[in-house]
This record gives sequence, C-alpha cells and structure tokens, in this order.
Amino acid sequence: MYPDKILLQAEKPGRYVGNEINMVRKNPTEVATRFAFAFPDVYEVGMSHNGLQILYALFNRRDDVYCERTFAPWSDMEMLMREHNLPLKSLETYSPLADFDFVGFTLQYEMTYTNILNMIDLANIPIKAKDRGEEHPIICGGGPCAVNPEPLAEFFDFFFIGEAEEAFDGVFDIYAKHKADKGDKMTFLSKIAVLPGVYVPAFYDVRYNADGSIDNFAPNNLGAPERVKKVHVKDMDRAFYPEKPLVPLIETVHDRAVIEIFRGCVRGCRFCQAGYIYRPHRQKSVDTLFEQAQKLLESSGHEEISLLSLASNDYPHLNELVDLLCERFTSENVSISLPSLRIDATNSEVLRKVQSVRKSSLTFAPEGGSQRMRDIVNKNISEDEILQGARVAFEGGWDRLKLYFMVGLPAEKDSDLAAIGKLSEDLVSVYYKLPKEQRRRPVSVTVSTSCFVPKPFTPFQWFGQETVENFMSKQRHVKQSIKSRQISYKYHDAETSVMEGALSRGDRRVAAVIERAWRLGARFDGWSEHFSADIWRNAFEESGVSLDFYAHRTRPYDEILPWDFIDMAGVNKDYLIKESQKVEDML
Amino acid sequence: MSLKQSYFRYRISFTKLGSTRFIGHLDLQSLFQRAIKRAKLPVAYSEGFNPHQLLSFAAPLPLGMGGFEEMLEIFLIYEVNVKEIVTLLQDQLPDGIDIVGVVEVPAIGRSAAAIIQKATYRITFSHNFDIRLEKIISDILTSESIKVEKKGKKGMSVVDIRPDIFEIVVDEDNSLRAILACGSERNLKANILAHHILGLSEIAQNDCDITYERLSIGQDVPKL
Ligand code: SF4
Repeated sequence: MYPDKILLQAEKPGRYVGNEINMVRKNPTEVATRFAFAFPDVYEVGMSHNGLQILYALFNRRDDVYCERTFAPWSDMEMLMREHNLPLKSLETYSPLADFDFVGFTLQYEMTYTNILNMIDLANIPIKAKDRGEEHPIICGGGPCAVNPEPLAEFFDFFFIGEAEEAFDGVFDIYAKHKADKGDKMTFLSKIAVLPGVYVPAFYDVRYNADGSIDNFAPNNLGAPERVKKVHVKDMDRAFYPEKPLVPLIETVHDRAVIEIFRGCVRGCRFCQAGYIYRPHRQKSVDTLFEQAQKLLESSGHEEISLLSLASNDYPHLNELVDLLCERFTSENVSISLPSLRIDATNSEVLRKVQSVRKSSLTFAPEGGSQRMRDIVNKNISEDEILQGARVAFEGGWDRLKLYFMVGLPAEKDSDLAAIGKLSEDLVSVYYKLPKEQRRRPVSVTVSTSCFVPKPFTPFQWFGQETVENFMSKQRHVKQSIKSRQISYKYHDAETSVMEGALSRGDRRVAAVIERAWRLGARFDGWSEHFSADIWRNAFEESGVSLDFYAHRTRPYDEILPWDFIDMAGVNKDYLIKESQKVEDML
Repeated sequence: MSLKQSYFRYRISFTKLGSTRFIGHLDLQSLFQRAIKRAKLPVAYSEGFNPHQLLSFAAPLPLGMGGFEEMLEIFLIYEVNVKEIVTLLQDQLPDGIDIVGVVEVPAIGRSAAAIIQKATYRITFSHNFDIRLEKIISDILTSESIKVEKKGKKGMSVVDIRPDIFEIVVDEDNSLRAILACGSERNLKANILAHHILGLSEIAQNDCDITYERLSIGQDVPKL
C-alpha cells in the first residue's frame, strides 16, 4: 500500500487500496506471466466496466497467469506520487507496474489517451515502444478504440483487435514458452504477430503522399499478415463469463451485477461505431443468462442486476427472461435494470416489471429531431412511435424523460435542428393530454445533444466533422427551438468532440499531438473539469499537425484510411461505401 | 417500529484495520449489506417503497483510523445462533474486518449508537517525549479546565475539553491510551487532544506524525 500519510491526503484513498470482495490472490513468483490490467480512467469508472470483470476473470482462470489491476490516479494523487517519487502500482500486490511482464490498457474512449501516457510514465517506463528495452514490460492495448490503433502505435508493442475471450490465450501460451526460453521481445512479438487479432505496429511501415494522405501501408516483417483480422466470440453461451465478480469496497458509478444478453446489434444506425464493430449479432439463451444471474448475485450480494446489450428490445426472449428474474429475485429485494431499453407500445409490460422496485427517469434516443434526419442516420423509429412510447411511459407513472439527440450530422439543415425542439414540445403535450388524475406533478423533459463524431468502420467515416463554431451555432439553434419551461436543454462540449474526432480518425502522426498534450498537462480529458481546449489546440500547433486535416476534412472514397488494414469481419469498405452512397442519394 | 418487536437484534463488534481503514462510513454500510446478503442471513428490511436492510452503525470512525472494536446492530427476522452468525458473516468480509464478538440484545430499546458515550483511543507519536509525556499528561489530568481553539461553523471558538477526557494512561515513551467522550451528546476528537499535547511539548507540530487507533467504543460485546 502507499503510505498512510500519502493516502490520507488523497481525496478518496479507497481508490488506491484494492482488497475488494472476490479479488484474486496468487503468489506472483509462482506464475509464468504477470499481467497488469490498466484502466486509463479513475477507479470508480473502471470498476463499473463489465469488460474489466470479464478479462480479469478470464486471465486469472489460468494458473500460469496472475492478472492484477491498476487505474489512473486522480490528479491529487498524481501530484502526491510525483512529489514523493512513488511509482504506479497494482492493487492486488502493490507491485510497481515495471515489475510486470505485460501492461495491458483498455481503450474505451479516445479522451483517455493522455492518461495512458501518464500511467506509463508514472510507472517509470519510457512511453515510446522504441525506447523500451528487454527489462520493460510489454505494453498492449485492446477495446473499441483499437479498431483504429494508429494514433497510439508509437506507444504500444502490440494491440489485440476484437474479443479477448476468443483468442488471447494464444498470446499467453506463446509468452510462457518464450519466457522459459529466455527469448527477446522482438522474437516474441513476431511469434504472436501471426495470431488472429494481433497487430504489432513495429512490423508495418506507412508512407505518405505529399498531400498528407497515406500512400502505402505494408508489413515489413515476413510473418506479419497484410491485414489483421478482428476476432469475435462465436458462441455466446459457451463463451467465458465471470462467476465471482469483483465487488468494490467504495461506491462506484454502477454497483450492480451485470449479465450480457447479447453482443452486436442488428440495426445499423450509420453513426454508430458499436453497431458495426461488434458484429455479428450474437445472443445468449435464457437458460445461460438465468444461471449467470444467479451466480453473480449470489457471489456479489448486489441488489441490482443489469441486462447489458446495445439495444435490449432486440432480444427476442426479453419478456421471458425478465419474468424469470422477477419471479426468482424480487422477493430478495433485487431490482432489474435495462439501461438500453427503448420504450415503445409493445413493452410497457416489461417496463413495469423492470422498474417495480426503483423508479428513475426514462431515456429515449431518437438521435435525429426530424424524420429526414432519422432516415439519413438509419435510425428506424418514427415520430409516432416516439410519441406512443412516451404516452406508455407517462401512463406508467414516469414523468421524467431524457431525450438524446445529435447535432452536426451529415446534411443537417436548420429545419432538422428546429425539429428537436418541436418533437420535445410534442412530448410535453402528450403528457398534458393525460387525464388530470394521472398527472402527479409537472412533467420534466431533458433534451441533451451530443456533437456528432464520425468514427472508423461506419458509413460516415469519410465525413468531415463540423467545426466548433458550427457546432455552437447549431446548439444555439436547438436552444431557440425550445420554448416550454418543462424542457431543459443540455449540450455536450464541442471542443471535446472535435478533439475526439481528430484522435479517432488519426494516423501515426497524431501520436505527437497526444504526447505534446500530455506534456502540456492534459489528463482526464473526458472530464469537463479537466479538459482544456487550449492545451489541445497548442498541442496540434506545436507538433505541426493539422487539426483540420484529421477532424474537418472530408476524405475521398479511394483514400487509404489509417485503419484499412483491419479486416472487420463482415464490414468491408465496399459495403460502407454503399451505405454512405445511400445517404447521398437521399439528399 | 411495531414490526421490529418481532425481530431479533444482534450487536456485532468487529475490527476495521489495514486497507479497510480507508473505506468511508457509507461505503462500510454497503459493504456489510452485501456481506449479509452473501451470507444469506435472514436480515429484516424496512417497509416502504425503497426497502433497505435494518442495520445501524455506532459512531463512525474517521478515515484512516484503525478500529479494534467497532460496532453494528442488525435485525434478523428469525433467531440465529450467534456462533453461526460469526461463521456465516466472517467468510464474506474483506481482509481487515474481523468479527470479534456477537451478542443478542432485546429487540426494543435504544440503539448502540444512542448508548455509546466513550471510546478508548491509542495515540502514538512518531517522536519520543522521554519523561516529558508523563509530565504533560499528569498536568492535563490535574487541571480543572483545558481550553482549546476549535474550528466551527462560525469560525474559531474556544472550548473546554477537560470534561470530555475521562482517563489517559501513558504506555510507552511515545504512546498513550485515552478514554474520551464519544457519542451524539458529547464528543472529543482524538486529534484535538493529540495536537494539544504536542503543543505543550517542544516538538514541532510538523515534525511529528501521529497515528490514531480506536481500541473500543464502550459498549462491551462479549469476545468470541
Ligand atoms: S445506435 Fe443503438 S440501435 Fe443503432 S446500431 Fe447502435 S446500438 Fe444498434
């Protein structure tokens, strides 16, 4: 543990002490491989992430691997650590990260990239792969942002593209043998480079054209494949799933048991990266889910079970599953939550059961205010369905609604923005059409708009993102379209979204910007109280990288994109071009 | 309240040591709630829309301070042998929290939190006082009143802490045990006393680290 004196000066010392329920204890000297699972955000966020639970248990199920955890220290703790020369350590055995064989980062969000550099640095490990020697841990990464790993290529030894449950064992098997043979790092990397899902950036060279676009991207190592194939779990019922989740001792963002009802999504909303990169759609059977729920609740003591998926309406046995869970657990004061439930007239039943214990606000995500906009993004929900859904919710006793929209979508017009206000007002009127005795208090509707960020592997991956100024004028437009006092309007910071846009579609040259921003003090950029647009603008300027080129530029279809080398099972470029052209035809 | 009469009330004393010292009071409550749930103890729930387990803690421990005999009370809907409570619950608690005693008490009556009046602390200084510590303590114990400055809501005020000091025993050259008022009516924080002692010595405040431990909080629960 860090000394008491340090911990007591930190805002929440409980973040740094571990010792959680179901924490895995092994003797580090008795395993072949020590893996530090690094979450580049604060403890409470990382511990609420289901992927951490899965990978932690998955890796630790092997006797020859000990997977420990580490999180980004909050800024107060970072200051203390630097002041007292304390390195970043794991929570399980309080070992410095430099002692590990691997440090593996989960890449959930572009705005955590500076935290990654900061954590490597706090571990006294050189941030760039080329500056690290045999004595340093191998640094790897995976997760949704790994579908375009290029902006991080310089810092990582390898990436794993896809779902670890399916194939990460191969990496451990090879490593155990490599370590026993006392091999060198490059030999190890060339051995794993042939495994499905593994991408070793050092084995590929990029050449650029005079205009800055990519001229050529090719392997420089005989074993490295031309294209890296994303791997995914084939059979969700047989896929590994934890039975004894870590239960934190301090409050986190979500303190609940989680079952994953399916992965992937059939809907194909064009802005939605998750919808494309998690394909194909694969679901679990009710039997499997019920059994997993039972085990998780028993071993955690949680009073909430959450049904995780991208869109729970699309689970065909939702009613049956919810019934079973209610029947078994309601008497034990366990509530069920369905974070991604879309409310419509067909599921009022489910809705009632799910919320029977605790009633919170309901969420709708029409994304586009007008039908035209929803057609462009392929969000298949009509105005009628939205209004119907709201009526169902109001009748069920909810009077707090949250609505999520995006601004800055392709081909957006002022009338589309005005439609956001109009739709929200119509929802308010739906409430006031209810008989008086059904209205307990004035309805409250919160409208939130995020700024659209075009992402790799979506039909909008070529689209030039709006500028900060345009986003802001669009936000003003939405605001003006809202008249009712029952509606409050919130919008996401445009500066953050533009930086996210530049990072998400960046290439290897963007690494210089990330490093510069980190050196200028950028940390926790996803947190509004920490984000500094000035730092990022300076970082672009000082590293001579054009923000415009990466964020706002519309790419031609025939340009080589930085992530083209990834074979995204079923989502090939031709298909995305066709989808994108469908939108062009609509205009 | 009426339902409570038919329940069974247990007072449980436990340690809060090691890394669990850094778990705040509300988090400690959730930690026990989940442990009780995993242990499958027949815990009683409150009535109403948002039922919660009937359990209550006495005198929250400040963050970072170790506790050797902290206390909580739970209501069960049927009687369970105290030994069994220990076995079931201990398995579900993290390192640092050990059950040291359980006793059944009548279901009606004031809660542990309401009866607690004193607590015993061990205060350890990183510096040796030599014989001066004995002297300082005997001066404190013989004085009629001890005025210290206290930061309150309305700025600094001067309070007399003497009535809140029941006993102080010097154990070693740099460590003492103090029985101080602890509870909702009267309360003296151990660090106020410690800083007062330091002020009477020649040791500079910034030079000396002080460690606090709470040895017990007055309500004796028979040891296991
Ligand atoms: S936005 Fe939701 S429904 Fe649409 S593709 Fe993404 S996950 Fe599926």
